Amino acid sequence: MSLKARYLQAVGAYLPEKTREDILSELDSLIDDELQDRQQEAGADEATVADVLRELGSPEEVAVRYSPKPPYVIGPEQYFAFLRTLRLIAIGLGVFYVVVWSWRIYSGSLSAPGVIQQLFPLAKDYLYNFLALMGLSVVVFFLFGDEGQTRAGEWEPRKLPPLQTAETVNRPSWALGLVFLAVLLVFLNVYLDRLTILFFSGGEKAWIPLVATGLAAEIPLINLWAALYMALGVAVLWRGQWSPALRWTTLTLDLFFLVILARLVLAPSLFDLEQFRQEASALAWIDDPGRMAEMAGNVARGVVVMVLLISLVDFLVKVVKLRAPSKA
Amino acid sequence: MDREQQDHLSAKLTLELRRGVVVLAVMSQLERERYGYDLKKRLRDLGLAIDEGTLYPLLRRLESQGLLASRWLEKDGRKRRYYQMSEVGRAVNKALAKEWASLASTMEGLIGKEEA
Repeated sequence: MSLKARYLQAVGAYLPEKTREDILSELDSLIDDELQDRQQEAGADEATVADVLRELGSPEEVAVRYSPKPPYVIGPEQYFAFLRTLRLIAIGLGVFYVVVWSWRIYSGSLSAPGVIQQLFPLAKDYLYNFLALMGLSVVVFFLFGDEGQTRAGEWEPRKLPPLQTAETVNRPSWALGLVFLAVLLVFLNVYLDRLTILFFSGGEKAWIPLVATGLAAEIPLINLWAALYMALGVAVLWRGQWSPALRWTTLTLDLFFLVILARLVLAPSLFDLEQFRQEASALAWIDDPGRMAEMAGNVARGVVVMVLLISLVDFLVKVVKLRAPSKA
Repeated sequence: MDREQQDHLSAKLTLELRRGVVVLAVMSQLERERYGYDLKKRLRDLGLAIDEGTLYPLLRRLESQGLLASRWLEKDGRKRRYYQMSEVGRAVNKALAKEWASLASTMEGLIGKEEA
């Protein structure tokens, strides 16, 4: 088969059946014209044919140029709508998992340690489902993307979202914060006994429940802080705009949180070391339960110190921002 | 930006600039019937070289838009597709040519002022 025939066959593979024969006939004639011109100078050897075909472009490129519509799976006009769809899927799927797993914990079909044990399979499951829905979205956009496209002159400038300034409240973030605080309150006041530490040794694992004595002592303060913060959150969401009063109140409550964390760091013990020692003694593979208890206490304190440091940095950033003159 | 990047950007923008006038250039030469390769040579001889990968699909696009009409003709033992401006194409070409004259005059003024 000649080089030209192979080229035409390759181009034809990418062309729609309706126009394939016509386009290929024309291409054939155009290539012959090019060759005829060059043959007069050099002769139609394979190298000349290859030169002409190279100048025309690869079969894919040529087929794309002959397409009546750019061959996109998701065109540039639908790209941002597609990204918005993916974000909605990610959030929706996240909410679905939180609701289902909260229900499973509430109904007792899954214990809190069980949740931690299944975090990895859960994340994997979430990722698989997200990818499956993403694939489905690609198909939907490919088939119906043009239908939802905004045509020139159809969009209404007055429907543009309000201007986002430094004073505009990030409502989704605050709403999420309120949900988190509500969950935290329920956990600390109802399920505190389910606070556990996971140990691994030689393929074996053990969950040692902790009676969080140090934490328990701080719970009234944490409750007060969380209640105040939730009230602040409702006010912030209601107003939608930051005011100096709201900013200072936020800072005050952040400071209050830092004090609670500092008290936890300075507490003699974050949890009941004696009970921990007893639980650990029951496990054959723990040689020195006393040392293990001490180590676990240090790890727990380390975690609180980390939270304290992160919160402190966040607090200082907020203070600096509040003192800096607004550039808006 | 180094020299190579500058040259690349300049070549890219030149291509975009030329792409804008290709339709008008092509239509202006199709008052009479021509086949693709003949049109390509004519444009090249007049100083506007358009690569075949751009020109040939463009002819079909203009035809699908109703601006050109085409037919297969056999001349000198060769079958070729010949293109010519349609009635709609002539009207559009006239409007485009008028717009081009106005644009060229404006651009001349703008570039002239910039250079002065």
